[in-house]
Amino acid sequence: MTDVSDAGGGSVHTGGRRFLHPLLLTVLQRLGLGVVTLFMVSILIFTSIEALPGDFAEAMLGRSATRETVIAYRHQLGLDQPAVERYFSWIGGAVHGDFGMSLASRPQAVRTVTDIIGPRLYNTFFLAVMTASFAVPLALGLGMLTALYQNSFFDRAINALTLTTISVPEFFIAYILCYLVISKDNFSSSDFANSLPVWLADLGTWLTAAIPRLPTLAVVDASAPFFARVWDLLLPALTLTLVIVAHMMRMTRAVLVGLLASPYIEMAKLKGLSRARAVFHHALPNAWAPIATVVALNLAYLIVGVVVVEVVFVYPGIGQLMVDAVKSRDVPVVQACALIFAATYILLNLIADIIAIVTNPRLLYPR
Amino acid sequence: MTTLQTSAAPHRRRSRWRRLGTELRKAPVSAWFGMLVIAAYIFIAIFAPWLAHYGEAQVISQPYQPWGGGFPLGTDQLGRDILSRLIYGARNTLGIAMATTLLSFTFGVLLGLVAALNAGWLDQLLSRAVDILMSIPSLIFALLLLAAFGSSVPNLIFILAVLDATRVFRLTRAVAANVVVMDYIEVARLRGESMAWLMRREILPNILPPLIAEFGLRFCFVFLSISALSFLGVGIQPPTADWGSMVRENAALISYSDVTPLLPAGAIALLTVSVNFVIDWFLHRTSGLRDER
Amino acid sequence: MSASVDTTLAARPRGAPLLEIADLHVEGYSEDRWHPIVRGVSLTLERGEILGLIGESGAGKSTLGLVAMGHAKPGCRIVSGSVSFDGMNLLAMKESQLRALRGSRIAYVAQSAAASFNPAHRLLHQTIETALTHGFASRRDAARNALEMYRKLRLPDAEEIGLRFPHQVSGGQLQRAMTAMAMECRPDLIIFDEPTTSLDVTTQVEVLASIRDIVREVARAMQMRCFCPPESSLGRRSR
Repeated sequence: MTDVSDAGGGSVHTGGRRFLHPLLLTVLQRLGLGVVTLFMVSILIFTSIEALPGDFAEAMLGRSATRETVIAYRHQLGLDQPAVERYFSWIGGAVHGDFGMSLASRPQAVRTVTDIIGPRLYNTFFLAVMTASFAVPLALGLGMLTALYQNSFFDRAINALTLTTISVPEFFIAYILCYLVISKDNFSSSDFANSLPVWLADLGTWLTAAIPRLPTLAVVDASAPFFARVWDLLLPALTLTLVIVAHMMRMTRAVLVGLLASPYIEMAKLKGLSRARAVFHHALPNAWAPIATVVALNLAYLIVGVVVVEVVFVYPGIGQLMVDAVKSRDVPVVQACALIFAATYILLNLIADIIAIVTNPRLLYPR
Repeated sequence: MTTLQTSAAPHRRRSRWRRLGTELRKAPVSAWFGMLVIAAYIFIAIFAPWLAHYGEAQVISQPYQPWGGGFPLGTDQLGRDILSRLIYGARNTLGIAMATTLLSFTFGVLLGLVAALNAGWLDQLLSRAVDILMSIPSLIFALLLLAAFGSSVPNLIFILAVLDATRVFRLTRAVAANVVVMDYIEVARLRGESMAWLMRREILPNILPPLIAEFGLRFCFVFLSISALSFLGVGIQPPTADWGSMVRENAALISYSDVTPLLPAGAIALLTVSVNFVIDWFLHRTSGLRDER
Repeated sequence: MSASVDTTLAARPRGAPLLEIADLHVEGYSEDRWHPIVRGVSLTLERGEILGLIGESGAGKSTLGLVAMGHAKPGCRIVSGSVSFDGMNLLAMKESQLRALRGSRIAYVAQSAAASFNPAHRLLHQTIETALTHGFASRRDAARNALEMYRKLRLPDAEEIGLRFPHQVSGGQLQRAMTAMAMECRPDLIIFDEPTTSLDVTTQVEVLASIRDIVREVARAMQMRCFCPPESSLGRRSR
């Protein structure tokens, strides 16, 4: 690179080469930070169980247990080893996918945590990917449309609708959808319909007849063909979609409205460029980073929403597993689930950060 | 801007109440709707024992009675009056959510102010700790801690308060950091004012609007979390009346096209929508910003 | 607000005035009300003239400059008056017609070049964009023209600088690049909005000298927004 200077006090570039492109360095730093965060989170998950007042083994067995039983149980759980040792054996196993034994495990029916979690994780993953593949494009599209047509009737209507959707609990949406599907058969004979004037009741019956007969209890059959599984999951996926589309769309709109107010967009108009060119050629390249962040954050909502939706639809996924394990206080399973959820969340944020880094011209082409 | 008046009469500022009155009159329909609903809920929560016909755990009849007769909304799966339970549910759920939000705000604002004022190793430590805590989604972390500590009401309040305090901390620290660099803080410091004095008299009054809005948002979030946890069965335990668990208990009725389980869920939804309307209006008036959550 | 006019640049201004603003009223919206920003301003600009508008901040100079392109900033509205460019009434034209004029016959150089260049695209690309979208020249010709401009504006290493991104060049260089961008299509009217406000004093003098030289060479009408004395040295007589 040559030395460049200008009379106006411009920049001076030094010659020579750098070891690592600053972009690569930033990405590696971010990856490192992600790993460290995950490590700290695992410690947090482990110690939050440790902080229990009293003894866990005693709490599980109850007051009437004899001292020998408690000691034996404590030994079985490995609780007599020092905490640090236990942590490292746990995390060491976790890295290999071995999370130890479930507390529901018996010598006759050994159940490792991995055995329990494995198929459930796949189920949840299937549901999540199915939801995301529909919800993300829909949300981004709606976000773009409402940003482009700000304050139009369309924008305000969507805004009101999404404000309602994000305010209500997921199980409400889920049960309303179930109700609608079940009304298909029951509406005409229900008390509610009988209290309406005849024409309204008939309208209601006609409308509910149009609703497809979706399964309200997700039945997972591992041998079922792909499209049958998708059909079974339509209601849960729809519930999740409604929740995350609302969040994602609002955030996308906010990002784009901010970008469209940038001075260089006004400049594009003053240069005589069409609106389409201003939006797609000028605004969009600067939008990838914030939109990636928005999408990543909302996929995190998906993680949380999945727990409630799985319980409502009795879907055998990792969310329902965690809830059941909490109720039965099966600690190894709860810890493993928490770790998996946290790792997913951290990974999503990491991907968003890396996209933001890689699409930033200041980092791609440093001074 | 007031013009210079040659007469001796001073220009009197309108009192805070009069300004509030003007603001209220200009508020949009949605904000009015929200405020009325919130007022109604608070009323029901406070006067629950006088409003409800039966006790919250009182079994009075057969399970799953239809609407009508002595039970305007029917009975639940154990034969208790649903309307009474709904009324008591307002008191329980709202009360617990309010307590949690107040607690989380106390922690979060205090720590946030301390971090912003110190801006040294303490700030770094707190911020890193909060980052780690926020790397686990709230609901998941709550489930984890409830598995360890059990689902009693004090546990529930404390756990959610601590988890929520992280968000409050972040916001407080961010807005306080903007104020801390101002000259009048520097002047106050040089005067020898203590940190507590600075926090209470100089910084806090200047960051109230975003904090108030955040209080509303946090309340909604806590309220929804408690409902969700109760719905899952790990939150408020029976026989305490709570909207979330009422949904779960009566969920079977959906199969018979009975809307009864949707009522407590609807009550939850109505409150959060109303609070959001009011917050929307408040933010619009104070800063014109919105939509980053 | 006062204006100073320099008529020494022109060969001979002839025919209808290039820009004619008559009794213009513009309002801006703030605090729930419309306030007047520009009250009954009239001005005329002949071909080849340089018109400098001097005024304090908030006097409405930028608003006036944008109105000359038929554009009102968001939050502003043109209440009454007329703006005609080369005999055409800008306020009555459709957006598509205005688009055809902007960039090609009327160009704008903004106050802050850093905010007016898109951080995601290279400088040369943005400079020749107007020529390409208005269909004036092929990519190669437009690029050659742009590099020629860069050299005339005394930008160092013209070929290389075009390939850089906005964040890789200094403020003074960006301002000159923006001037090149405005002149790319050889517009009849260029509006400079406080072109050197965001620069330090030494750079200001440099940039103004470059601008004056190129305008002299190309002899267009130039409507200038000034604030401080160094800039008003370009226009001479005060009214």
